[in-house]
Amino acid sequence: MDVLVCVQAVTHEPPRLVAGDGAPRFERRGRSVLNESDAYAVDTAVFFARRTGGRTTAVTVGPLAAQEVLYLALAKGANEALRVDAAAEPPLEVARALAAVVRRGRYDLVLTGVESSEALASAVGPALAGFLDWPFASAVQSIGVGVHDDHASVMRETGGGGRQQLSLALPAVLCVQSGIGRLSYPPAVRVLQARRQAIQSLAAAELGLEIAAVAPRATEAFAPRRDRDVELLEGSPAEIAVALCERIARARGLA
Amino acid sequence: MSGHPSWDVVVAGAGNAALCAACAARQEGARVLVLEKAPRELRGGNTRFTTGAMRFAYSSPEGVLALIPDLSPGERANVEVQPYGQDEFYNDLMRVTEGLADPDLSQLLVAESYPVIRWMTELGVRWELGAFQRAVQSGHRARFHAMIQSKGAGPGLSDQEFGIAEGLGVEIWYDAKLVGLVQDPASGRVVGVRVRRPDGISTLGAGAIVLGTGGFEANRELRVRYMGPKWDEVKVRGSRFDTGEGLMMALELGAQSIGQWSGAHSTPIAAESPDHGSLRLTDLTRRASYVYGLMVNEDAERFADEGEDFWPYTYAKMGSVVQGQPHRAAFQIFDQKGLPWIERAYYATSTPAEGDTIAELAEKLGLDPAKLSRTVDEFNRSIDPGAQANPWIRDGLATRGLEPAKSNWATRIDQPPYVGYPVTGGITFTFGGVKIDRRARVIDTEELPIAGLYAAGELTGGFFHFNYPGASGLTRGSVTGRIAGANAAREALGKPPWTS
Repeated sequence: MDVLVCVQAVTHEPPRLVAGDGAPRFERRGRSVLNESDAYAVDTAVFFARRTGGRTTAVTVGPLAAQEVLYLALAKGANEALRVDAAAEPPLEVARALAAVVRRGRYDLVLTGVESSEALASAVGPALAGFLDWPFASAVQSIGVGVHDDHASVMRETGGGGRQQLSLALPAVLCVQSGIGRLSYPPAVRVLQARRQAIQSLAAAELGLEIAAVAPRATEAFAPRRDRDVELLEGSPAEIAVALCERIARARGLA
Repeated sequence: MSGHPSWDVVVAGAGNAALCAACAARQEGARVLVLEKAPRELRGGNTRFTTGAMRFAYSSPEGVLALIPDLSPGERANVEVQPYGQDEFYNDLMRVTEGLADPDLSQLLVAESYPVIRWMTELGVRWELGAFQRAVQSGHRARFHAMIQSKGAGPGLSDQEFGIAEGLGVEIWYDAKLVGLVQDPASGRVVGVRVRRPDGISTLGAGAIVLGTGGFEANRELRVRYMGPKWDEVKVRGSRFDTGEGLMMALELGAQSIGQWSGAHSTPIAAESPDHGSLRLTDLTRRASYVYGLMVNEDAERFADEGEDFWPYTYAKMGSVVQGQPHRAAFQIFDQKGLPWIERAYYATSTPAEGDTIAELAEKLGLDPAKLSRTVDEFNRSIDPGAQANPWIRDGLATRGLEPAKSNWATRIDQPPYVGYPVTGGITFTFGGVKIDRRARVIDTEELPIAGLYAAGELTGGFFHFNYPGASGLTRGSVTGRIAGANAAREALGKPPWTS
């Protein structure tokens, strides 16, 4: 069973709000790390590919900096890695690029994480399934599939702590939930070995795509507004206790 | 600093990185002073001793040809530009540094490699197609791949850069050695430098300082301190002035040390090379054509895979391997099949030993004839007799069952007369250095920038470990130099930081 796992690089530090010329925007900063639920997707992909004698290919859409997460995927056991050299947004364009990658190969299963910890859009997986017209499940918590199976048995999470058991015809797209299995932490030496491998990149044009820069334009971006004040009380514990009681009494209209 | 003559930006050093910094700072409108420790006739740091080649990533043949405006239409039609994108440069960096190159710095180097060469071209640096490119002339088409070479090689690049800097109005002091960095006692900001000149030591104020003083390869004590006893005796390929004081000053201010402090760019060089780089020979003493023959040590034993990769991807680590052999000695042996491929520098600067038999060659090289004959026989037996090497590709023509193997271009040494060149290790530049950020600010051990202090070139760490892809050293110098100079100027002039 050959598995394609789609991963995304997110940044280690939260994006910073930048008010430059024009519309304010969030600036990504810090090093690229593998998005959490995608890390689970990689481990799941490697598990099924190995168990069924198949291969795992990891793919990401993003600039050169995104290549770092492919090294981790290789260290986790992916056999091949591929980068589509294009912007990592908007999600529909990413999904279009991934669909083109899927069509170039022969995959029995496409896995990805349920959401990017940066955008929280949960859009790429469903859109990819839509472009491919493949069966799809999200928030997948467990997968059962054998070598000769033409269906995968999938358990997914639903609202209110519920579970849903599905049987999906293969090939299918599955978005896995964080915690689907135990996360592997490859030894540092494996990561270094992976970093020595050349990673193939494909331009959007090589995939027959014209990735349009149709990202929605931000009209405003802001940090959460503060509607309460924080006051730091200073002094000895006894003074702080007295001051605190006064504040509580004032707030309750007692003083 | 009041009471002292002052500049907006003081650049310490005058190699490629330092002069790129000086020019970039001047373009931002800063008043710039360059401190060159060497006298005028020995100026230019390690740059003069290079081939003047720069590795860079490009997205189109047109982009490359735009860098060489003086190509005739005929020449232009006969150049085949082979692709070399950013990811290929990045992959090469990671592969040869054993995965240890810093990702942020590597991305910066790769992404800025083309823009910086464009910028240098606009400043007036002139290039040619490069004499040492992997595939220079094949048939009638010149192949261009990954690197461009300055007109006049290293000396040409250095002279051009001095001319450009002077033309822009950069002031250059020779015989002017940086002996101290002056910190504001209250803020910790670096606000000036102490300079030793023939008439004494003086203090100068500076809005910002760029350290472009190189590594410590010419400092025996620092070599042994950081790299170990193997490096006590070694020939220095480049400038005798790269003795590491600037680097030590930065560490003293709390700069963070990163990269491989026990490693250096080092290549096999002619055994008869002078102890330091010579301006007459520059890099002609390099002996990197071992890929077309075999290499033995004093015991007439092979000790390395001569054909691991194209030589630009192995030569910078092979010096260290030679340096580890008994008496730091090795011998490169060729037969008449391999000889046509070796670099012209071999002929230009050395007279090889020659013999009609391996035993006779051994005799002339001072090796045990029986031992060398045995080594060559074993080598020959591990290769098919009729094998024909193809130097243009990694041809996979490998020895069988031999330790160490020769992984590519392995053909029998069987066509006399045989030729042998004695070589030793030569050190080019050290890999350990200070940490810089994407603005080339020097970062301290608490991950905070040291205010007023920038660094560029060979004293910046994290780029190279064990090895490097050939011709990326000057690119690192230009990329970090341009960024350091522009940002130092902007800080000094109160302008927002520069990003490309």
